[in-house]
Amino acid sequence: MTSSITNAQTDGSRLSEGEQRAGTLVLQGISKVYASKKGDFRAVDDTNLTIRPGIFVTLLGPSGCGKTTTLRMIAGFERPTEGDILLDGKSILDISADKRPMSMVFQSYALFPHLTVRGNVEFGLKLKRMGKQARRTKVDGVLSMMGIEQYAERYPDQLSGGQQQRVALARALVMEPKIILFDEPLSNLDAKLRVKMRSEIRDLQRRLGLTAIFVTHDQSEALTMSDVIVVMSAGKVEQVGTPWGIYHRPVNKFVASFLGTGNFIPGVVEEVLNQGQNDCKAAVQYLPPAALYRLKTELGTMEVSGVPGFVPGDRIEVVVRAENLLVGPGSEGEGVKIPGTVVSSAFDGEVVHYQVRTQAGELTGSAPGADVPVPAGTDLSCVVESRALWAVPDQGGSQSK
Amino acid sequence: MTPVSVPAKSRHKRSRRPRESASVWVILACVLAVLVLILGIPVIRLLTAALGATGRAAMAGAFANHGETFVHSIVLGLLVGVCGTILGFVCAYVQTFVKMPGKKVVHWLTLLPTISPPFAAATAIITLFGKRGMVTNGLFGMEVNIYGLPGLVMVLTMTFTPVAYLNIKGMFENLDPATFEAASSLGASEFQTLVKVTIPMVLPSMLSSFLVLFVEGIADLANPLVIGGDYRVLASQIYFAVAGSGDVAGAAGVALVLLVPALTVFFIQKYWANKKSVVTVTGKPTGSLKPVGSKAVLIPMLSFNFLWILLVAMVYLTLLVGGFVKILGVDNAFTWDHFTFVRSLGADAIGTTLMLTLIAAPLAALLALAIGWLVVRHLPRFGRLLDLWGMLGVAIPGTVLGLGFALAYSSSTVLFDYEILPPLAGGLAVGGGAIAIIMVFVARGDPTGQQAFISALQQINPQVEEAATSLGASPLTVVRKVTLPLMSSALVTAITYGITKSMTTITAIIFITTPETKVMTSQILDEVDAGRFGNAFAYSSLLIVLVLVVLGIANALLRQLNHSTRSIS
Ligand SMILES: Nc1ncnc2c1ncn2[C@@H]1O[C@H](COP(=O)(O)OP(=O)(O)O)[C@@H](O)[C@H]1O
Ligand SMILES: [Mg+2]
Repeated sequence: MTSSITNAQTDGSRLSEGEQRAGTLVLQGISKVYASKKGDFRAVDDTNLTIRPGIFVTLLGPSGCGKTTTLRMIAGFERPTEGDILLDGKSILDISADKRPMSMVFQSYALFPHLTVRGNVEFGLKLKRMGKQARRTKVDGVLSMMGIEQYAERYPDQLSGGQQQRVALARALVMEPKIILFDEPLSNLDAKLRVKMRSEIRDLQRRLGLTAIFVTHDQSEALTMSDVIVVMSAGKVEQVGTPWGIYHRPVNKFVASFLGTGNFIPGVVEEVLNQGQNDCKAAVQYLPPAALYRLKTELGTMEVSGVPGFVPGDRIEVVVRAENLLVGPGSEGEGVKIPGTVVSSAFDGEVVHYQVRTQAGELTGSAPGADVPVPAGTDLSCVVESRALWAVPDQGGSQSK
Repeated sequence: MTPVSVPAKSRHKRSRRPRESASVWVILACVLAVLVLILGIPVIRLLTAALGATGRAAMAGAFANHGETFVHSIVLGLLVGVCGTILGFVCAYVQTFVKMPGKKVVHWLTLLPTISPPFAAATAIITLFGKRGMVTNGLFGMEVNIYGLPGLVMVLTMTFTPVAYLNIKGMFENLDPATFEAASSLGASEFQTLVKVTIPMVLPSMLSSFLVLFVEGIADLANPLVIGGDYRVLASQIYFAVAGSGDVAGAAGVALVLLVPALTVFFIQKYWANKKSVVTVTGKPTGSLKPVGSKAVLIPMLSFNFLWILLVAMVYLTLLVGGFVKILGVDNAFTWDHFTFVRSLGADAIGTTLMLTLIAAPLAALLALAIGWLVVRHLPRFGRLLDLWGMLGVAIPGTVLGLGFALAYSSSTVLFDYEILPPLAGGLAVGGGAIAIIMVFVARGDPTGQQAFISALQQINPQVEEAATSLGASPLTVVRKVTLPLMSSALVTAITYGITKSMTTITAIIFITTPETKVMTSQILDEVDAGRFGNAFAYSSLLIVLVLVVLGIANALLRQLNHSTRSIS
């Protein structure tokens, strides 16, 4: 029922079945310990992960949780204190960063300020001693693919942020790496451009069949771009799964609260209706199994799916996402109806966000943007869509240890 | 979490330190070898000699007469430190905060002493302010004794004010202009701003300037020889021990007495005073400084600065004119005699000096680059030690270092009964002693470049270098193709210092110059000693012009090399 089972067991099964294609990257219990005066600090703690070729993996987590450190260990800029990194089953720890078949795109872009756009992009090819003609063709190809051919002779400081970003991407792509690494590459762009670049990067990755490892703290970036999301916190992997799986079947309160806006309503398990299967197929798709419980909560007794493994009497928390707590007269959805009083509202175009006081305390809910917002103080009814509820252990992550 | 698939053995395998590639170790080995040669063996030889019986006796001698010599040195250092720091502050303040015509000229005049041989100013000051001085006697009819402490303070202050000036000016330029706007919007007048905001903010760099000048002041040898008179300081005592009685061990004892305060103050400066910086660290300073207009500030600052520049200008004008007249102030008839003499005397020395400089300056820059690169990028802990070791090149007073070289390399270097190095210093050595001189030049030229490279490297976003690595560049390729082009200004600093130090230094090589290897500065000193000031003036002017020419060519070449280099955005 925990992340370690999810990913470690699947690792195990996949390794033993030998079904990985060339280019599989395996992180085997890697840790990074930084020694400091106040004792050792584990920036990355015993991380296991198998990354199949051709997929887009995102490391997602709050700032400081060790995403960059993990990425830099993969790239070869840091050496793991413990553990091993395998590419195609062979350790790459002793291969220096410049020899690993990977390119990295940096948050700051890290363009060479003394070289033109062309100089930047052909830098790596020159080191490979590629012929002048071939190099030119190749660079031109990549530049036009990125739509920056007209800037080829400019210097980085003569480009906008978005253009610099494309140069950084072109510089990494031209090397035709097996694996391309991104460290928050979009965080310096404005909101519109960021959304545009998401789909561009994703398209390129699919088209070129690259393995991409992408680091971000932005959940919507992770959800929209990834095949697989790895949620991290304080150096540890909390959960590995598809965007849908991570969002709708979080293994613990941390994951549930990091993605989306959630309310947590405490409850007690009354009856286990379905144990949930841990079938191998689901595991390969990184889709966590779901059990079905009858729970007693402040919203009443209800049937809710959740993390498998609870027994009657266990304390749990039910995740109610804001989009599943429908506020207002028009809300007639499937679910539990509860009365509430509007505390505040905020209109956001597509939706109206509400704070409502209910029998289960103050909750965050929403209504379609087309509904006229209800003023604070109004009493109205809310609907909790029970289909979308999910039960996680009471204390965030405590049962996973 | 218990990952099922991972065997316990591999999980707990402790990895070694991050592996540095072979080139890092090779370069480290080279750097260490060079440092041992230029700053290891000489220092150890000096210490062993100083701690021997003769050395210890001489050490006690340095404190004879109630420690007169020692006290003289300290007093001199303090006065030079105070005067130079105040003047440096005034000059830097005027450059930064005052709008006036001819500011650039003032700037270059302030810096002029850095590229002239150290005792050129002393000679000119004697001509101007001595017993028969053109100003004191000719203009005011006084008989002043400039020899001794007053002359020394004057000339050493002139020599080392540029150091304080550059240091404080750099600090001013890093201050956030908004600070001054904030002060004035809170109701402070410009005078109050000066006293309550400006001075406190640059106090750390003034303190560090003071300490640097103190060290320079107690370490200088050439000026005490020329203008010191009866005011005996430790540096001149070392010189007289060797030159007068050939008592090298005794000289080493005195050298140790000089070395201890010099090193102490130097490292206080480097590791403590320099840290106390109030320069804005977050974000780039925005806006630009508004010129100060208040008379209460401008009048004292400008008049102080004007008097100083007048003095500098007079000194260097004396130098220039003095080379073209028979005896300046006595017989002012035009003559080519001095230059003719210098041409015949210096025929060899000019070529030799240039050759030694052209070998030493690039080597010093290379050493500085290698140390900087190791310190910042590869060996963060051990690197500090390396940095410190390299800095000894200036922290050790020139006289002391030179003595160390004389002690270490006049005979062959022997390790376990094997001769590992032939004699390097002295007339009988390989290359007529040129090798030892080059080594001294490298030792003296390295530290400034080293500091420049270290701070330049710290400013380069390491991700830019990692990007190159990620594209397949080996560590050396990264340096060649990315790091070095981004540090061109540090490279210029390193080469410039290497050249000026090599061409104008005298103190550090005074014990190892030989008749076979003639150096311009030592020939000038001989002329001064013999009282042939006209020749010394001509020779000094020639040297200054030569330094400027070499610097000009070197800068042009560097710019050529890096013509595509652009500023870091
Ligand atoms: N070189 C280092 N020395 C000491 N601590 C470090 C070092 N690099 C990173 N850390 C620490 O490790 C933790 C994880 O850092 P990082 O991987 O950069 O986080 P993220 O990218 O997830 O924001 C942080 O708490 C950071 O302070
Ligand atoms: Mg990060």
